[in-house]
Amino acid sequence: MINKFLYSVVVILCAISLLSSCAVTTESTEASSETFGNTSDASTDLTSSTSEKDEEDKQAARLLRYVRANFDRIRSDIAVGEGEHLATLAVLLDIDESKTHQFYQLSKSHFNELYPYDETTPEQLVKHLGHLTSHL
Amino acid sequence: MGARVPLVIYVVLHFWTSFVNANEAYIQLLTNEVRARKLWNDRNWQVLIHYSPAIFGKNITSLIDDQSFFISSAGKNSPQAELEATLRHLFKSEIKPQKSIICRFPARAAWLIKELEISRQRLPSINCSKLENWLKNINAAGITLVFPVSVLNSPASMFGHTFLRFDRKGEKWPDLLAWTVSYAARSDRERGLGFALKGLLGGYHGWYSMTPYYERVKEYSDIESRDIWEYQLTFNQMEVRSLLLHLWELLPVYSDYYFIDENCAFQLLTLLEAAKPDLDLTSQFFWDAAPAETVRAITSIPGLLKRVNYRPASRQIIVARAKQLTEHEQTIARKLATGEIALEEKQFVGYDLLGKVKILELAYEYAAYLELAKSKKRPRLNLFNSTVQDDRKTLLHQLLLARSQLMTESRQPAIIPPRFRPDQGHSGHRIGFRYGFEDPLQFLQLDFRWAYHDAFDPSSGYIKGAQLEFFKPAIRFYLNKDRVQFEGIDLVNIVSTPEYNNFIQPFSWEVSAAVKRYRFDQDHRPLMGDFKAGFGISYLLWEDTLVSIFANMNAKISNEFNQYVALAGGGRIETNTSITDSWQSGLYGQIMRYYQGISLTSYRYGSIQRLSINKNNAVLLNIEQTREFGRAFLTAGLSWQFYF
Repeated sequence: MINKFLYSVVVILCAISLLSSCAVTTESTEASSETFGNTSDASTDLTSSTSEKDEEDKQAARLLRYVRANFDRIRSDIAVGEGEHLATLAVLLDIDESKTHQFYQLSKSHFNELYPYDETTPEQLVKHLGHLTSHL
Repeated sequence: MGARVPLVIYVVLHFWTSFVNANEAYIQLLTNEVRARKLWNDRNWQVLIHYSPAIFGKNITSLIDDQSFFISSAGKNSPQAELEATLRHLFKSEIKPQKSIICRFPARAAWLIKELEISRQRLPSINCSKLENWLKNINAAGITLVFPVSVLNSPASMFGHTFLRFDRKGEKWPDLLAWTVSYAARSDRERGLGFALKGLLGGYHGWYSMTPYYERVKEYSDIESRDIWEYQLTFNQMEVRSLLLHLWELLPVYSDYYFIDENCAFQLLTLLEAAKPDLDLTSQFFWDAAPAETVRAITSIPGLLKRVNYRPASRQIIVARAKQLTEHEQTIARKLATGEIALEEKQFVGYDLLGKVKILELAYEYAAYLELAKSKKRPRLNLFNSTVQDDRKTLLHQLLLARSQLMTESRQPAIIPPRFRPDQGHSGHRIGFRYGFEDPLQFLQLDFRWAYHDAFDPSSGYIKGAQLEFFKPAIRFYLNKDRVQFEGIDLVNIVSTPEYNNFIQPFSWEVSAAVKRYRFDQDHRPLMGDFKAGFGISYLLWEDTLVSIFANMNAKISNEFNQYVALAGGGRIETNTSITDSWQSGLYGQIMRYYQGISLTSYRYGSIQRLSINKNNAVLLNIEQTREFGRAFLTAGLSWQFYF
């Protein structure tokens, strides 16, 4: 009798273990934490006020954070010459709406300069983009 | 000189005392009004402090558990105490602005000031600079409810998830840069039985957190390959501000996280109620709150839904791209993505510009998917014996470099959203009334299922190949014998049968735990513990038919077996066909060989037909030939199923 009860408890505990499927936790998946790096503190600058210099630094930080998180998608959009992630990048680079199409074509045709190595880092990409957009 | 200083001090003290006394009198006047109107019963107050009826008794209690959310020590259980304490502290000056009630609890302060028509001159003059900067930087004018759909192959995602996105109206600010808020538990990566028990019993703290939308799209769409549905809601700017003010109050505090009811989806409803207190969203989710059900509750409110946008997962994009290509072209794309062939190979170089673009774009998309799958340790069945290139970064770069040299626009096909959204599917609870025959007996059976969806439920709005059932008891009444019998309970039954194709190669799996009756003879059907697991593969044939093949293991626990446990191994095959939108048909066969505890071979084969009458009503017909632990017998049943 006790054994039957214990075995039934085992079955029920196994079922409960499977309910671990339901939780949502604040931990990112392993892949996403590698991708995002330090972006988990993206919201901390929301409360600070800024001078003009601060605003430039904030914008630069925002750009780098975005490029880091979306590096692969930005790269594929640049290679194609269009896409949502590239359009968002244009906004962060403060490119005038009338020049976005030119920016897309320029970045595509200069793909090799934006990504000279297969290990080009987000920081390097941002630097190369700065050089490129100075021609717009 | 000597006499003037005490005089000045006396005058200052006199005026200060008069001021304080006048303020005290004013506060008392307001308190009297609060008590006369019983303002703590007002819907706005109840919503802001998250009061809810207690499970037992007639009391109400706040669902927030962090004591720092309450100004009164009795605030969690006393709306009156909390309101009066808030009112009193509203007039308190603080050296640090963020400690003042006006800055710390701006939603409460705004409501009390408006409701009691409190004179601003009476309140301390405070600059809530952090709050104002926060609101300015978010710059929200609209709200979108975002729903990444469920995915069974990820244990934390089986019911889907919901979070809010704050949209800027009237500017061309990209959606990806909008801020989002989500509620989640902090579990320190714990898993297993402890994780499940703590999650069920409120052992974790749940917190709101904010991130840019692009992080969520990356996580759900790319890494976890989940479709995302964006439900744009019709909240006006004032209502959005009210929601944000309340969110500001909640960001520093926790609530105990309960998987089943006070979870991610439920807590978002409390935010929406803060924006529009007339909305009653939470009371219908007193016992449980599945994310899809909460979305359904929101979209069913007339006028609340403005527009819906579908954001396909990377997996869908790959499948759609592959459909543009012939089998041969798909093979080339796959081989390019895995590095089996180089870009210089004749079989690729020979294509025209358009062909090259389509193949390259698919190859890159697939290579990126493999890279993410590898980093997430997503299990794949690699049946093609392809050698996957380790140096994937070089490969990705080469593919994109080649694409950048092709001067033509993208060839991504338009992805057609599924015909039905997740909120348009059947409700998660189900009750069934069955007339059945189990040779030679006839019976009536009552089936209940607490959650969620099985392979033969109406599939509209649910992901294909996903079965998720929890808590399914059944009671049977034998007509010939006038006897009621507890038939058993399926505690959990999960079957994942995602389609395996040239590119997306998940394995199928199933697991279940139940206490059920198994037949030795017609008068001997003892209850037993029943635990099953299986792995397999599923293919989509002819667009509408899914075929799944499994290898299974089974453990049964009963004193009918030697040493109380019977172990078996075997296999199962089943088909599931959508003949029309409302007619689902299936065939199945299973064979299990018991080698421990009892020695015999059991089998079952049969057919299921399900006809939907409407979204929440269906008729099910099943017929089966079975051998369990005695002689083979025939079972048939006709059920009416109601979803609610």
